[in-house]
Formats: sequence, C-alpha cells, structure tokens
Amino acid sequence: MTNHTQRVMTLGIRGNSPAMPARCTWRFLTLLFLLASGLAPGRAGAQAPTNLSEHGGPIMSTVNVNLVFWLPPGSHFVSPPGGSAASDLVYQNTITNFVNGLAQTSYWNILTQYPGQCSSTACTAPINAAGAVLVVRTFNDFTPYPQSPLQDSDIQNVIQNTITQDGLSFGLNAEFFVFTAAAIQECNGLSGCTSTDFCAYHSEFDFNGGKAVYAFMPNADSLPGCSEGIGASPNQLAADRETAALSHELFESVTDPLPFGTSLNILNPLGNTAWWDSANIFSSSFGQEIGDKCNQQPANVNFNGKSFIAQQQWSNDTSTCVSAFGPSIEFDVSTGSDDLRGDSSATAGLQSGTSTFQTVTLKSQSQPSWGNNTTNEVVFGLVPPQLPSTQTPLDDVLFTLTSHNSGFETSDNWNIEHLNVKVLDPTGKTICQVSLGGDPLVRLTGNQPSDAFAIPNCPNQTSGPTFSELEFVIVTGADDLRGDSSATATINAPNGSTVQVINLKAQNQAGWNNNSTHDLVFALSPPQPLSQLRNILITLTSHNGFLETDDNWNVQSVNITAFNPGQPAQCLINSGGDPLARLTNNAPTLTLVTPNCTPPPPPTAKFNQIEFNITTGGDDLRGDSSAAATLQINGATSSFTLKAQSDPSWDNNTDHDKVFPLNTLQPLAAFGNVVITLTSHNGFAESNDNWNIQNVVLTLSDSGGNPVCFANVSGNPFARLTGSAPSVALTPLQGCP
Amino acid sequence: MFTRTRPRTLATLLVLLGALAAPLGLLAQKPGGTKGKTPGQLKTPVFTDLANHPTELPAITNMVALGIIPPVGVGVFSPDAVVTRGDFAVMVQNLFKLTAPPKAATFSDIKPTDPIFGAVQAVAPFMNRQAICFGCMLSTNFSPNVALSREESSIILVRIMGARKQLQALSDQDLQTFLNATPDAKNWTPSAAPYIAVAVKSGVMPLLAGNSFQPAQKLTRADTAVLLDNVNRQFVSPPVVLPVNPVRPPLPVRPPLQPVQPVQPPVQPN
Repeated sequence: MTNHTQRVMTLGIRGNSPAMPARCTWRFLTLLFLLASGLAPGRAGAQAPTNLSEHGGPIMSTVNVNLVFWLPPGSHFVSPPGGSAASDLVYQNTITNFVNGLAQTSYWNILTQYPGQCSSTACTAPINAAGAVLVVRTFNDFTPYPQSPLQDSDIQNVIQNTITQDGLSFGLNAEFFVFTAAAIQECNGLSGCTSTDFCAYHSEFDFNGGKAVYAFMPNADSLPGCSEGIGASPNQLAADRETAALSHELFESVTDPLPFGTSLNILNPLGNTAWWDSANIFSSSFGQEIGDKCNQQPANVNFNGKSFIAQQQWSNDTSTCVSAFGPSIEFDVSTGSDDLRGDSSATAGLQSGTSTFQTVTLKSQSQPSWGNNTTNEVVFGLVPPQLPSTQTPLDDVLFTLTSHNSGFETSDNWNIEHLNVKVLDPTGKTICQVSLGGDPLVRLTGNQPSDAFAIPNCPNQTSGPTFSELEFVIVTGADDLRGDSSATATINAPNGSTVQVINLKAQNQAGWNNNSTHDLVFALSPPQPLSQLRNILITLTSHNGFLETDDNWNVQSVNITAFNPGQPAQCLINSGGDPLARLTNNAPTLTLVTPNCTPPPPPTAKFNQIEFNITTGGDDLRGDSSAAATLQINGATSSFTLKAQSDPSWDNNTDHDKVFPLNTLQPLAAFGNVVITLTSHNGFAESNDNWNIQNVVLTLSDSGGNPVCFANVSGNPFARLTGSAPSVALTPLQGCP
Repeated sequence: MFTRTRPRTLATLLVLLGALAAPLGLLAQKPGGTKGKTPGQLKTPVFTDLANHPTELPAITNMVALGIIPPVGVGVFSPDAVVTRGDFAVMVQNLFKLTAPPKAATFSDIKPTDPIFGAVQAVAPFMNRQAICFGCMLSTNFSPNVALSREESSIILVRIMGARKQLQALSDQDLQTFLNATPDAKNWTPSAAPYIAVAVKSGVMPLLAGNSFQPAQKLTRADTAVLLDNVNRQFVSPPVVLPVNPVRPPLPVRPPLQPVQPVQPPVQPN
C-alpha cells in the first residue's frame, strides 16, 4: 500500500492503441524535461531510475532459436592455447543447453511483464510455458570468413543462406544467433566495432517480404571490455560469458524484435520499436532496452539442475535489475463504450476476506487513456513474493476509479466489458484465474467508483487436485540411523514457507538399521495441491548420549508418493544412489526438489557394455600417468584401464572415448558406483600428476544397442584428481536426464 | 610546414611568436573589440596550416586562444585531422568545466593515471552510447582513439546543454516534421533521432548538402572548432572569453592533452 505512488511511475502498461503510447511518451518528454532538475552530474545526485515503455511495435511471444556456429577450420571458440575441437563442443553444448533450459523458469518469467500488441479483447505477451523458447536447430558453418573485420552484411548473408538452404521459417517467432570464433572482429556501420564499442547486438533485416530477427554473437571472452564481471565459471569461461551475452540479446529481441523497423509517421516518430527507455532524452538511460539497463551484471541461474551464467534483466515492476520474477498477478482489462480518461487513475486492491494485502495501480494519472473498446494488460509481482495460500487466499480484486478533474471537467465514468485475472507462479504456471464479461461488466462512476470481482477458489481452483496423504519409502544404506537420533521431513511451498513438518523417526523410536527399508504414511493437513509441495528436506538430528559422537546416516533411496482417495497416486520423488546422501552433523539435510521421478529403465533391459567418454579440462593427464576405472556389478568390482602408462598423454581440453565389454548381461539395478582413479608414475624429480576432468559421460548398452545414460556430469572442472585426492566416484544415473 | 631551423624571415618569426603565445593567451587583440557575443575576438591567424580554412579561422583562433582546443604543435593546428573521442572529451571539458559524477565510470581502457581521465569521467555521463548503438550490448571500452562522428558529438552537446536547461526536447509533432524534411532520417537509429533533431533545430549542428545530416561523418578539428565556438557563443553563459584588458595574466598552462592521432581508419559503413 505504501508503495502505491511509486508503482504508478514504474509499471509498464500495454494497450491496444499503437499510436497512443508513443504519442503520450513524446508529449510527456516535454513535461518530464520541465520537471527534471539538477541533471548535471555531481550537482544534484543520481536521477530516479526510469522504466521501459512501449512504442507500438510487436514483441515475440515465443522464440524458435536457431544457433549458427560459424567456425572455419582451424579456428576455435576458446582462445589459444585452450582451443580444441573438444572445447568447441563444450562451448556449443553449454549454449544449447542454456537456451533449452530457459522456458518455465523464474528467469524467463521476467519477460511476462512486457506484453505486446492487443486486440479489443486480449493482448499477446511473452509466454513462459514449455517450448516457449527452444533451440530448434543448430548449424555448423565452416565457410571461411570473407574479410576482416566482418561486416554486418556478412552476418546477414550467413543467415540468409541458412534459411534458404534449410527452408527455415523466420519472422517474429524465430531468431537466428550467429557465433564467431575467438578474436574475430566485426563492424556495424554507425554502431561501431567489436574492438571498440560492443560485445554483441540484435537487429533485424528484410527478407523475402518479411522480417528476419537475428543477433550477432562475437566471442565475448576474447573481446576487450566484454568480460561481464564473470570470473568463476560453472561450465567453461568462454561459454559462460557467451550465455550471459546471449541472454542480453535474446531478452532484448523478445521485447523489441524490430529495433530498426522504422516506419516514420506522425503518430509514431520512433518507428516500429517495442519496449525501451524513452522517458527522458536528457537521461543517460535513454535508448536502453531490457538488457542494457543491467549491462554486464551477471547472475547465476539454475535450469534443470544445471548451473549457467546469465545477465540480469530490468524489471519494470521493481525498477531494478533482477534474475527472477514472480509469483505475479496479470490483469487483462477490456474497456467498453466509455473510456478511462487520460487524467483518471485506476487501482486494484487484492483482498483476502475483508483485508487488502496489496494494491496495484492499473493506470496512473500520467499514463495515456484507455480508449473505448481497447484492452490493456498489466502485470505485477506479488509482494511479498508469495502465492495466495490457504491461509491467505485471494478472494477478490477491488477496482477503484479516481477522477482527477480539471477546470470544468466532471467526474470520469468507465465501462469495463471484460476482465481476465490470472495468478501465476514464478515458472509461469497458472495458479488460479477468472474470466468475466458483460455489456458492460461494470460501470464505475464518480458516485460508484469501486466494484469488487470475486476470484473463486484461489489458490486451489486450477492448480490441480489436492492430496491428503504422503507415503515415504526410505532405504538406509551402509550407515544406520541410530536409535537415539531423530529424522524429520520439512515440506516447503514455492514461496519458501513451510507447509508441514513430518517426524519420520522420533528419538524414542527404534533405530533404522543398515540396509533396511521404512515405509511410512502421513496425513497432509490441510490437503495440498502438488504445486504447493515444492521441496522436501530430510534432516537428521543427533541426540548424543554420554561420550557419544554425532550420528551419520546413509540414505540410499527415497520414494515419496502423494495420495488422495479416488485419485491416481502421484510420484513426487524417486531418487537413489550409493548412497543418495550421507547425512552428518556438518551436512544434516538432504534437499529433494519435486517432482523428481525419472522413470526407471525397463526392468527387462540388460547391458553388457560400458562406454566412457571423458573430457580433460585445463590440466592434462600426463603421458607417464595412468588412469583406471572400477565399476561395482552385483557387489563385485570390475576394473578398466582408461589410459595405460605407455599411452600418449591426454592433453588439455581433449576428448577420449573408451568402450569396455562386460562379462554378462546385467540389469541396471546390478550396477553400482564407478570410481575413476589417477595414478602418477613419477620420473626423476617429477612431482605427482594433477588431472582436471571436465566432463564424464557413461553409457550402458547391449553391445552398443539400446544405450542408456549411466552418468552425465560436467563442471569446470567436474573433478581435479591429484596425488592426495586421486579418485572421483560417480553414482548410477548421476546427472542423467 | 614549420620547422625547427632558425627563422629566416620576419614573417616567420612573427608566426612563431604568435603560435607560442596562443595557448598562453598572449595574443594581441583589439582593445575592447567585440564581435557577436565574444568580446575577445582575436586579430591574426597564428598557424601556418590554415590557409585553406579562412571561414573557420576565427573560430579556430578563438578556441585555441581560450585554451579549449589545444594546437597540435607550434604553429600547427591540423585542421583536417579528425577529432577522437578522447580529444573531444578534453575539449568539452575545457569548454563547460563539467564536474565529474561522484561515482566514477569504469572504462577498461582508461586508467586513473591517464591525462584524459578527468575529462572522460566528466563527459561520460553525457555520452548516451546506447542511443547510437541501439540494440547493442556495450563493452566497457571508452575507445579514446576512435574518430568522433557528428552523431556522437550532437548527443554529447545536447545532453550537456539539456542538463544546463538550455535545450529541450522537441514535441512529437516538431520531431516528425523535422524527420520528414531530412532525407537521410530514415536511416538513423530511432534512439539517436531526438538528439539530432534538437541539435539541428537549436543551431548547434548544421545540416549538410541536400539537407542531410550524415550522422556517421567524422568531425575534423576545424569542424569542431566552429562547432564549439558556436556553442560557446550561443549557450555557454557567460561565454568563455579572453579578458578585454590588454594587460592580463596568462591563462593557466594546461597539461599535455591526448595526442591527436593521424587520420583514423574510418569505421566501415554498413
């Protein structure tokens, strides 16, 4: 409530009258100028941040991403001496995985604040749903670079050739990213050059009667002034710097895909552009798009359990740089035959029972009118960032019209014809919604300026059925849960609040012995939808007796299933390992994020071959060193020589593939841990070898057929084997999708 | 070209003395003489390379005498050399005496020990690089040796004079009228257009042949002298002037400035 006025100034509102926002923007430029004061740096301090405003052009609601890796023979994406075919592969895979992980994340959800053009009943907006952003194709272009520096026309030519040769679709739901090798320079006419001005850019060009949206992605890692403040890197430094730059350009393309699609006309002097900061030409932020306002400010993001580096993006909702948005509430308001006047304002109070827990400004007095038969979409983050709950449901929204009459003006009247309200979680999932209509649905006037719209059953309406029981099946491994120890399961909601704490084993209950299975059923009270069960924390607490040390507990597997009478059971967790986790005093908690129920391979599948694919990182496996792997099969140990002492060294950033037959066909359940071990054979005065392992992919197969992922791990490095820590262990299915 | 050999003629000697005196503000002038808004109008050219620039000569002489544009060397102005970003930052700082913002901008290619550091810090808030490089992810380079374009100089000057409340944005109607009347406007970046319009409409920057603006065209030192002399007369209030009193203390000697580079390789047009 207290932030009411601030929100008026910061929220982005999108209407369906393309001319109006731009006209208004320019009308207000003069006003803003007159209001502005103390603009000289050092004289009057910092200016208040200004938001992105929209200029009538389209946005991209979904994006089919095409990645074009332009890499002539002999060139690499990693600067010498690290560049190699293997490092190029890591670079490409990291970028591909990053894009494929974007949809349905709270990071991509930032974009939902910036809707596009509206019809009389609805607005298009960036969609945060499965497949909303997806790599549809990757291309490797090996043609030589035609000149140095490259020109923008060279980039466009590559894209045109790709589109033509492969018959690809283009337009406002596709974007082409062209990546070039380390140290390749490009110049782009007025904008400057990679060597002096920019790290990447997005743009568009006319092609076959349409528009092709694209971004040029030079190798940021090798450009001066493009390090983006990224030092530590979860994958590969060059690739991580590139994903950050890619996120900058991709977000800008979604919110302003036609930055140069100028159609100069009296109603829209700024052409066909969409969202950027045009609030005040005497502000240093004039001309900035969503990524520019947070330029080179990195953020760690996690998609599908993998870590990446992205760039922070601007949030109109908070007027800050963020790396996540939501939960949120979205209003699509259709005005009928009586407009919401330019000098009027409108608010919506979010009510639980009779109390208002948040008020949002739908339209401020300074924003353009909502014309007859137009639809406007506005999106707000819920404050604090939590979804309506059974304790605090969203019962209704109270719309209020406020007239700010000037001169002989009478109070404004406003006809609302349609109203859609949606509450969404940070991953874009609709938690509850209501769609209302009438002719008009309601008419707000000076005498009756407010009306409430009920939001029935929020949060439970559309979030699926509720569940009243949870079954835990927990297998203890080679270290028991002691009799005087206790264990709990804490169930947390997406907003971080605790839904329920369950006592799995009390201190006075019998211990859980080694290799024992415990099947426990608990009531969920009140019943909860699955969307409220975001993560489950299993915690060990030692209650030490005299001279007793802290307990340690190996958890081998956890299976959690939700039940409700008359409904199918719903798997929440199905995870295992050897152990899945070892809980100790220092690390007493196992966090399980729901849902995680990878379907097990068919029980009939059997395997007689294992393939090791190992990528060495920035420290080689020396020529006189050896490396071996052991594999547990039905409790017995099989050994494999990955590299003999007499084999050539495994150089930095090289890829090595080894296939070993197994004696007999075995089911997946028969396989245990894999341990990779480095052995140094030091020559005279030589010290122990160190070896960085970047990636390990283990594949089981039936003589090469029916391959199944057994492990797929990576890092920078994933493991560093040394004389004092020469081994690394992998558990079955570790890192597998 | 001036050389270091012994002066052989009286005229050469006078040129030498004049050139040496110019940066120190020791030039003779009409006592009490004024022209336009600048009472300190100088009398004679002091450089040997301005024969082909009679139109720009007064502005050059004035800007040098005022210490706003440093000469390249003794008796040498190099009027056709392009101005770099670093040069322009120093010149603008000399003209407007800008105050650096409390929080220093970080440029990966400008160190605090660089002679132009202070000028770059003071001018950086007014550069609006994003308006030119619309759609770009900007690097943290200042690139002091890159040749300055008409577009860049327009934005910097409009931003500074806007902050001084001497210029204001055009209305959307006036902006559109201007864009329609300027043939090459359709090729400008949307975010640069408002600055160019204000610069032209306010008389800061002239249109070129065919009423075009040619935003990418580089500014020469002679162009820049005319540009800044005009800004000084019209917008710097009070204008920076030489004292009218013929007996006056010399202007403080300025530290060496960013050396002017030979003509930079032009940025390739798109």
